[in-house]
Amino acid sequence: MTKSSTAVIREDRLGSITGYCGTSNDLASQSRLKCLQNADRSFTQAFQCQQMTTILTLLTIRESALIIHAPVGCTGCALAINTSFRRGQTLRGIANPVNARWVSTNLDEADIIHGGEKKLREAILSLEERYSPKVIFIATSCASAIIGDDVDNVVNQTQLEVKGKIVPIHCEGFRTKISATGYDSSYNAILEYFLEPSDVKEDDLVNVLSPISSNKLDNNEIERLINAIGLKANFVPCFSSIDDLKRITAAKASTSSCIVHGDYFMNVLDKEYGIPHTKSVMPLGIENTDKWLLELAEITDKTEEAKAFIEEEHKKIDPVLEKLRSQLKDLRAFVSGGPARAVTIASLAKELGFKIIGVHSYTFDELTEENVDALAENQEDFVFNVANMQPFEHANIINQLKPDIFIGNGTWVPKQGIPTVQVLDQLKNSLGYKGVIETGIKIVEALQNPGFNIKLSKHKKLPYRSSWYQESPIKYLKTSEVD
Amino acid sequence: MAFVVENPRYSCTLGGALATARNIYRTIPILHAGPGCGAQVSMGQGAAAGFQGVGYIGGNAVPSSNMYEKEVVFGGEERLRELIGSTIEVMDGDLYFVLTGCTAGIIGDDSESIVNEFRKNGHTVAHAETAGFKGNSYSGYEIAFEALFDQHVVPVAKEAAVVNIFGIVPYQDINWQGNLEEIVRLLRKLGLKPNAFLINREGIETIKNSSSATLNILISPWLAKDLARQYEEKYQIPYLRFSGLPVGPTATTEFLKEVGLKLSLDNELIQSVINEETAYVYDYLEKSADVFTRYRFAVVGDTNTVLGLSKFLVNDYGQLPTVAIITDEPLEEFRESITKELSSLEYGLPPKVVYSQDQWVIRNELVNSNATLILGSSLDKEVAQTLKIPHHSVSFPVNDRLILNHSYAGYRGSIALIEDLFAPR
Repeated sequence: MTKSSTAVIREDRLGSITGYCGTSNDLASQSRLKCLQNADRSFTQAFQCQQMTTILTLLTIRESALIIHAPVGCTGCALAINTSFRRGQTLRGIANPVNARWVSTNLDEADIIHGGEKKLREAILSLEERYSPKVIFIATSCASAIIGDDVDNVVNQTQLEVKGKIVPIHCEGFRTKISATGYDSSYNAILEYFLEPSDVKEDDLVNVLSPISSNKLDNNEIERLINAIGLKANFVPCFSSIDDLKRITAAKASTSSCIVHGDYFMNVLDKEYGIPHTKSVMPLGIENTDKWLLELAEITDKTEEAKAFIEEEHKKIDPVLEKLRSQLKDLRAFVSGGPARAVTIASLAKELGFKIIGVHSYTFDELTEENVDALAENQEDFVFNVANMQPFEHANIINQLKPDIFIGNGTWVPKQGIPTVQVLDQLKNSLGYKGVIETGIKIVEALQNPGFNIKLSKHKKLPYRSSWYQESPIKYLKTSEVD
Repeated sequence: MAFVVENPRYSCTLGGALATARNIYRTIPILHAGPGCGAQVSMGQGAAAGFQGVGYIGGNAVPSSNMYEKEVVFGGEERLRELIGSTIEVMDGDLYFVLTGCTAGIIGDDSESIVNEFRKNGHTVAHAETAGFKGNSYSGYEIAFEALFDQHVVPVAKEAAVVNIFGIVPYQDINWQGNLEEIVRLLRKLGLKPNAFLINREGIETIKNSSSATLNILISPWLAKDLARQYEEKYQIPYLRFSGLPVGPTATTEFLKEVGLKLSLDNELIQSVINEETAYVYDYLEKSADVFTRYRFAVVGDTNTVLGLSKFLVNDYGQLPTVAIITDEPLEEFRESITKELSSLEYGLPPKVVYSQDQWVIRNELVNSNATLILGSSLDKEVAQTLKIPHHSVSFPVNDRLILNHSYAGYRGSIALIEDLFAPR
């Protein structure tokens, strides 16, 4: 029988919301009182679905192949992930990187009418013949789900003919507004299909749950910290092998480079396998890195080692930090990113000495609440916008606030003439102690030469009417109607 | 389109339609589609074609109805109405173009009626049924232009010099902008006023007036068949097919002569342009002779690229073909003539011609060829590394360089190609 890998959607499990605009204090207090309501929008722009999140979690697992059971458009993100996959291999010392293996069942009009199960079977058998992968993942789509393809049945029947393990993940986009639910479904699949109690216990092993957005340099830094207190790291699931996945249950503890990514699975590992985990903080920023390392040390009996190491690290970076602080004093920053990253970068502001005047986070839920609380304590009340991308909303806010720097994805804001610093930079550190310095330097350098954005904004504009900038940014937030 | 495919090299119908719509100047596409479609096809088109950015509109700025469970079960027409209305308020455009995705297509939303409501109120809108499962990027390109033909092209006075250019599909032709620019440049030298629709700030007005043309130039041996027929039937505009992208002096000269002949242009003018351009390109070809290298090349890509590069490299640049793999699934009825063209090159033995876009099939063909150079997409770099031979990216998808206005088309493009080949990546 196929085991179920469908996760509870995050709206239900965590109360995640995607529509809010107000202030940090207001958000924090509403959240504490548990009266935070989500809001839909009457104007919406495109963003990521949970199928994409699933694909980007699973596609880089070695010795595997992925079937995207969908019309061909749903493979779009695989091309981008393949680029990261190849780059990641190079960074891991592989001279001739290979492509990821993904197949589209290419559902066409005939399949929509008659069903696509036959093609799914064909895809499984052809992958077996070509590569005999250890695992064949299957990601479903809106189309395959709406037409009612019985993927589990196809898997049951075909598994007998195929050596590799066939693992279906039901991740059709329309089921959830929180694309991070895809992480949960992917991890459920790993849990159900790969994990068993381990005969061997590795007392110095830590699982590090790491999404593709955590680049190799970040992983190197995390590993440096973990090694420094006498532990070893098992990075999963991106770039890991099937054996790395199986090794999860042998570990002493779990942590994650992104709490949003790893929270669900770490809790499951705790419950099912008794593996404790770090709870709330992502190692972004000095205080957060200290907290994270101490928490990890506590659950692995390495507290003394951690304290000593942290003291050493502080001695090393404090002078560099002083210099950066002097260059970033009084800077007014607007930060944008996923809920873990956006809020923790904001806490970095305190350390680097600048001020947060606004945060845009893709979602918000109880995982982020604690960090927002901490943030609200340290900063004056600032604007908080929760939106699944929706760049039109924070374009309006940014136009009003006119920050000195924007820290986030740099597609649109450069055209508002504001210096921008990319957060998800595949080629630089953002996590750990090294990450603080790198990020600080990036900000300083962006301010030293903001010329490109300034001149760009004189010649190019965003695709919004000038009247939009006179409106309230919450004009299209439907606070009274909720789905 | 009916087969399971490993590492597909195109997007779906919606992907092609969006790529087309958003590159028509000041057009705001509106997706009536699932929550991931906009991002998927943005990553699967622009970004995958040499990291080409979103420009004015694209990616996560594209208005999208993001159809969730509620819309799947109860229908999304109200959502669409709300979205079109709010889009017109917020987004600054000259045309608002609704494109539908799989979800809307399967549940049977009547998007056309909703769009017509806005049309009646005087808004410049368009609508196309572009559910992803209907086809691939190429059908998306065709459907988008056919919808605009149907809903916006109006009869206007003929202008002898105006010609329309079709057949170069954004991102699927990785050098689409540079290629269109070079072709437009050459046609202007012939005294023509070319409409490329996707460059030079040509927007909905250009499309509306496209019936003024005296010729439709289809740069593709197979694309835009129905569109050309519609222009012919309604506006008596004949079409000229040029087989593949014109690359290099021989093919581009042929191209200009064919256009000139079809339009009865002055022979002296045509010849003077040809002479000037040919002299220019040979000034540079001459300077490349010192480091001339002969390869046995394999080429993998869309029909236009495979034809264009094969002809130039063999006919003008002394290279030897081995295998030519065409990945964009040209219509069956055109394949024989495409194969015949590739088999009638001026020198060397004809290449093996294969029609496939499946990675496994392509890899096996490349491994079994005796190629010493692979010209393909970035997906083919893996096999080049295995075979320890050089590789250069010439077709979709490309992830090893940034592409802006790079071009291999025309006379000038062949110079860029030779430069790129000298330091194959």
